[in-house]
Amino acid sequence: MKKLLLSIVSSLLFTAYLGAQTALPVLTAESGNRSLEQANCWAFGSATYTNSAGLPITGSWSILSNSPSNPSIGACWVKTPWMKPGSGNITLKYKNQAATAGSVRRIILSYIPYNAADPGQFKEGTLVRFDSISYSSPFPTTAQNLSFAIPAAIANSTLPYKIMISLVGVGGNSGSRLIVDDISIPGTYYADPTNNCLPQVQILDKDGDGVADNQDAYPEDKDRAYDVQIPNAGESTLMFEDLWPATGDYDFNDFVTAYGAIAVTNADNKVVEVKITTNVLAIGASYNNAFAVQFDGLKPELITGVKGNVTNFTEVFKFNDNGTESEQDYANVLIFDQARKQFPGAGGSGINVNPEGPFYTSEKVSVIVSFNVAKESAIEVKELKLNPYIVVNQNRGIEVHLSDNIPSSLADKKIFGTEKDNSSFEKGTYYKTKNNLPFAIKVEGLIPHMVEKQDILTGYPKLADWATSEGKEYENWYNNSEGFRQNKLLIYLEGIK
Amino acid sequence: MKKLMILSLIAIVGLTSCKKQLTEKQDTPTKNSITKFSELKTSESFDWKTTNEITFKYVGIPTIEPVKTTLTISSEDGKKIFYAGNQEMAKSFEMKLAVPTNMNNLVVKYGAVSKTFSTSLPIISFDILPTVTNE
Repeated sequence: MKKLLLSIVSSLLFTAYLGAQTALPVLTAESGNRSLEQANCWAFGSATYTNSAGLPITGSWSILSNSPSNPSIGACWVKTPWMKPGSGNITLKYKNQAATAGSVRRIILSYIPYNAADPGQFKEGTLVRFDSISYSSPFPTTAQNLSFAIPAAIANSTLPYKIMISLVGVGGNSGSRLIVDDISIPGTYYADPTNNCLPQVQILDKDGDGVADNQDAYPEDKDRAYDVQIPNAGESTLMFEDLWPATGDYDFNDFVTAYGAIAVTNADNKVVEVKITTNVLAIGASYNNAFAVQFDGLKPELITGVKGNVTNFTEVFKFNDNGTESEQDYANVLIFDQARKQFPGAGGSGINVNPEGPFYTSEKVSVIVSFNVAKESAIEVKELKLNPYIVVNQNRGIEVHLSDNIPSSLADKKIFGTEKDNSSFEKGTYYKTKNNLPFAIKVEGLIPHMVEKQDILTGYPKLADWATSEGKEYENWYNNSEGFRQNKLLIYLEGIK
Repeated sequence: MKKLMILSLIAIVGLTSCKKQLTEKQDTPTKNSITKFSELKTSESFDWKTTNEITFKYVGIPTIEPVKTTLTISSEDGKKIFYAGNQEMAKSFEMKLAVPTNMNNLVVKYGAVSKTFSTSLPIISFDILPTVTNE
């Protein structure tokens, strides 16, 4: 009775499929690479593939045993993936490499039940031998078609089994091996190659999107599955000088913001939305800048909506119905139009740049940009290239971007190449001086920004070595390591290390 | 006398050369002596990024039946997810990652398969082909 109950429970565990009830294919060895079969959960014990002249039975490759000098069932074998055996016959072709050498060649068939309690990696139960055929010398050197009935005990079972075919012998040597080919076993494939080749199991997938709940960031939302880091948009510190095309004092604190963006994708890996989060850390100048993000290369029409941005303080920006900025070739999303409005209650020209304080906390702005997921319009994360920038002091034509990021369509082209700017539309180089110095820097992670009027090299002395070595030395110049920072020249806001 | 004159000439030329070299060396500031950002000079190819670009390749393997599960690329502590997607085992996939320069390793997971890669590699090629071994 206990056995019966266990059997029912086991059967319930395997009633749902990840897979598609596919018939176990014939093992022909024609891939020529056992690892491809192993990746699909076949296993080989001292059996290899051969394409040596004269050895293959059919096609270009066959399965070759080791030197058959050990009659033990475990000496040399081929094992199927977990499968649900059907009924009928297991068939295969066999020949021996040489007619003599040794006294016995034997092909033994066994089945292995699943045993969840097995402490081993493969969860195999006790092997049951069910058929065999033996040959005495002289062995056949031409192909023999062999057939073995699937035993009634496992035929058409709802439980998973493996079939093991042992290729063994007595007294053989390396020139007298067994060769088999075209192993055909009726039944359906039931292994999960992504789960250590264990039997397929029911996955919990509440929203039915095909992504298991334990891997789904939105297990109850069929339209969303993953939160994915957008390349070059991980949580970072953006630091701007805002006098472009002129250079300034290089304290890189005229506008400092925490910035990060992730993409939410669906089970087809298409971008459903992009979430951009900003938190202004400092304003070390008198200008009132706006902050925006351009989606390089993406038409504004791919976006269906923009939510959460702060756009109500000025008339400088005009918008399309979908919330993107109008008259732009690529989708541009305004995050907020006035940085100073992000610090309610703060006064004076400099905010959070005086080491004596006071210090203010800005409003966190989280913007959700929704994308069209219709098949012909949907994009993948690798197509996202976010290009954050400031619009200087409400003058729409003046933008400052990270070096070599392209300006938006509304940037005033006449300004490029003037004063200290060495941009070249021809070369595709932007926002750099003749000495290749940037007007904005982005650092991965949140780092302290400079005290007002203090050159960034005084706070981060290793930055000089990093830059002059062109990134080869001190690539972690911004880390909080000994000798990397002059803390008295840096502003550490709450939560920044 | 002639020999003495030649020797003197060599000595003078030698001293002049030494002095010139010394002067040139003094004119080139050591890296750490630069304290003004405006004095820096870098080549046009330097991009000022604090990330390294790594090309990630998932190498698809033919499967008996369609198999899909989650492919993730993350930091070693799993806190930063550089990619997550529903990946067909048989389908190859490639994308460029931007990995912070202060991160040494990336962990790639596909189902139960997990491999760690150094971020010093410009290309990471991941597959779930097992090393051919006997059980």
